[in-house]
Amino acid sequence: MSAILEVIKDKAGPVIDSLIALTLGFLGGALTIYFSGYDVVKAMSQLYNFSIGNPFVNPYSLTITLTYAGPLMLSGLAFALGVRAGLFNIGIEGQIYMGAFGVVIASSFAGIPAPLEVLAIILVGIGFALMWSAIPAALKVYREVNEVVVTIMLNYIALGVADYTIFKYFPNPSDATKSIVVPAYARIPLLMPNTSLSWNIVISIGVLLVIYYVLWYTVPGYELRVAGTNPNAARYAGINPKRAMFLSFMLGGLLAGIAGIEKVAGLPPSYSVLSTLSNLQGLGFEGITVSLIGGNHPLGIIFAAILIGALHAGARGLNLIGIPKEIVWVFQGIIVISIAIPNLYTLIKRKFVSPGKEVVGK
Amino acid sequence: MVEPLVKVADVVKVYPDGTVALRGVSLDIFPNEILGLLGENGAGKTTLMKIVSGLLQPTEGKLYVYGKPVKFSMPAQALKMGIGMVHQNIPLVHNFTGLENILLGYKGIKRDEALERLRDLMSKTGLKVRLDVPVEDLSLGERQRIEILKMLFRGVKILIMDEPTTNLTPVETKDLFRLLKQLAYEGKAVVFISHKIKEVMEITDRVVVLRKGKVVGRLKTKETTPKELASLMVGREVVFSYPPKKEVPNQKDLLVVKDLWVTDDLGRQAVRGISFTLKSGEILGVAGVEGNGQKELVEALTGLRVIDKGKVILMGEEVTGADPGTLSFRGLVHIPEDRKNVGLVLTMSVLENVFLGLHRYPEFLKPGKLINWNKVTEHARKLIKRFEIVVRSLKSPAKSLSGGNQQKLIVARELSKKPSVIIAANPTRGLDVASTQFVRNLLINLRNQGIGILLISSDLDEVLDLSDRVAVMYEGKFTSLKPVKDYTLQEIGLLMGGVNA
Repeated sequence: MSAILEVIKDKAGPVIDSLIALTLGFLGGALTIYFSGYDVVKAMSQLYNFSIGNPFVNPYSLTITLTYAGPLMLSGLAFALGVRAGLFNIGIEGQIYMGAFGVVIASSFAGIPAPLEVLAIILVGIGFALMWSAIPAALKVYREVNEVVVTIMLNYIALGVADYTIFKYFPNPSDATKSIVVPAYARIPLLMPNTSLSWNIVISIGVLLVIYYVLWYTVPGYELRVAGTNPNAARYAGINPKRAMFLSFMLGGLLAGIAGIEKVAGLPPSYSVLSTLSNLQGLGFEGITVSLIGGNHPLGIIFAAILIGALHAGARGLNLIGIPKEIVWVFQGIIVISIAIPNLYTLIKRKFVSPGKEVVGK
Repeated sequence: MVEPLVKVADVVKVYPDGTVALRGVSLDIFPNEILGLLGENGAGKTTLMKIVSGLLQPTEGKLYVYGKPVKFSMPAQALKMGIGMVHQNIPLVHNFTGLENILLGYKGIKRDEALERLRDLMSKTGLKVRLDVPVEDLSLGERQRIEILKMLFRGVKILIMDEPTTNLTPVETKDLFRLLKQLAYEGKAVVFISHKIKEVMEITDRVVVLRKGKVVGRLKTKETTPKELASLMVGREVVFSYPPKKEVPNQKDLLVVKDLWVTDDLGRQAVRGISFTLKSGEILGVAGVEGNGQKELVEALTGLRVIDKGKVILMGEEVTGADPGTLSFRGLVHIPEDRKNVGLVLTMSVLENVFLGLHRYPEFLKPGKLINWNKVTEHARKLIKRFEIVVRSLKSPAKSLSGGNQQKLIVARELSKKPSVIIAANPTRGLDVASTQFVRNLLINLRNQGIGILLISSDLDEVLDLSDRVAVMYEGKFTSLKPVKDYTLQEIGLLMGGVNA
């Protein structure tokens, strides 16, 4: 706990930025609801009741929030690792598709002993995501190809490849809208019976803490952060910035793979991939939101993912009283804009403006 | 008596960071004349002309154009009054053609009409450029000609050229000189900013010598000699006192460099066949005006730049092309010139910056590539105490430190690697007097302990005060290398200006 406090004290600036952005987001969202002619108080209480409610009496609402938050943490952290290494890696979306695709393939092995099936899901799921991440990594490191362009393209390719192959070769015989399901004995178990909350959330938080440790307490993590913050200083200190970038891509792929596994093998009731990958779409991109709100910091990302999860959960409540649930996008949008402007500014400055040489008094 | 086109009266310029670039400079610029503005790095030549061309505003003093007082707030206003400056790094839009660049911001003319006028101008002046090719595909010389053409097209009366020959081939230089002479003959005023004495002697009619923001000489070129100019340019004041240099017994050859060739970022040969030997207990100073390959030499020796040809031998073992990590393990450390962008990660904490480079040293690690932050903290505390570095907390970012303390942090960190050879590039640039004294004393003490120091500095005083031997670097070569006491000041000035004494 003291470690967290220390970090918060250290990072007071970013934390305050995030809090300001959240306040603006909720104010803007409330105004939007008001000007759309709905009852703001009622809407806000629906949002609250369906995302948090009173967890001591009935934790159901909170379980929904946490169910959303689990995979979001991973995709958020995957993006954050890119930023930490000086990359704008938006390929998480496609890597999650590939991870989920791998899980579906592994599910088709059903019948082999349970431990092997579990192993297969983990290995194939993560392997596929890593493979997809290795492409932009190799292009960036060996050919200096811009990772933004490559990852955007690969997202579309992954969508096409996974969607086509899954529904051509692994369709669910009894339901045309989904793939074969993960065998019951190989699923990530539920944390609370009769809810959708599985061990996903525990796995995600665990992974985040591990990555936090790697970044701040190991040499490769230190090298990654130095290289991402100042490549010149990195080279001066004998660090190869490209190695750091490669590591960042690979860790990102690993996290995307785990997110894909959580989405398919750890999320009732479907335990499968839905057609057009509709139950996966957007997770990778929302990771960017989560990462920005969380200050690209593993501990911040835990809170940010829970917040975005809560908005998703609360949105169901809005729908019930006739307010379009899309209104939560307004909340998210304003939060991201207010936080991203200063943040993105530094990122763009670093990426696209080479350090200027102002010659004075020569 | 001809009226001056431009009159600069008692101009003082203080930069926002407190640097005083000009300390009361007065100057007249006449038509039909090439005026040379000569001085070392930081003498204030460029600053002065940036003020005349409207890019900077003077802190004090006045500017008169055609006898009327003016206040420019942007270069466009100066350009309107006929003052144009061709900068050292020419600001053109790279993916625009020459024509597009010339017409950029120039309203009220049709393309064909402009083209015709430009052709006319080119044939009159002998300036040859390709107008229909994107600028990025043109040589630096051609880009410069486009910029000159642009100035002439806009009808400048006063043309300011900032170190115009830096990127030119000898033939291009010759053509440029012919052009400048012709322009002066036609009634324009040309200001020629340079540190090259030879060129100033060759082309100018009158010379104004600047040193440390003051005019130290106004001469007719015909009535002066390179020697006189050199003395004026490098004249020095003694401010510091240093610990005595001790005789170091049993000097060994620490660093041997043989016929080193290095290319710069633009693919030009920046270092052309440099050889030297650095002994233990010696400071070998490299003097020279900046941009003569010093940066590339340092980068090549410290593993940051590819070596095209030649050998580097560190304590008997060849280390040509070794990376910075390997070099520091073998006893060669680097105090970089750019401490903010190379020596430190400004946004990371003091503690993390102490660890930079030391992150390869086993004494700060635990098994499994884990960092022993306790050890690093202990080490950082020791360094801070020993070098009297002022920091608020080990957790505060490095950018919160003053420049002097940042430099002390770097020096302290590099010394904790227990080096035999130190390569120090402009180690006191931008530091206050106390920090400068501290760093210089430290270098001398390290030398007395038997460490070999290669000191590359554009501050001539620094080189002369600290070094045992001095090399002068000019256009990628050491034009001279001998004990500091065998030089006269005038000789160094001439060598720095590219004149072989």
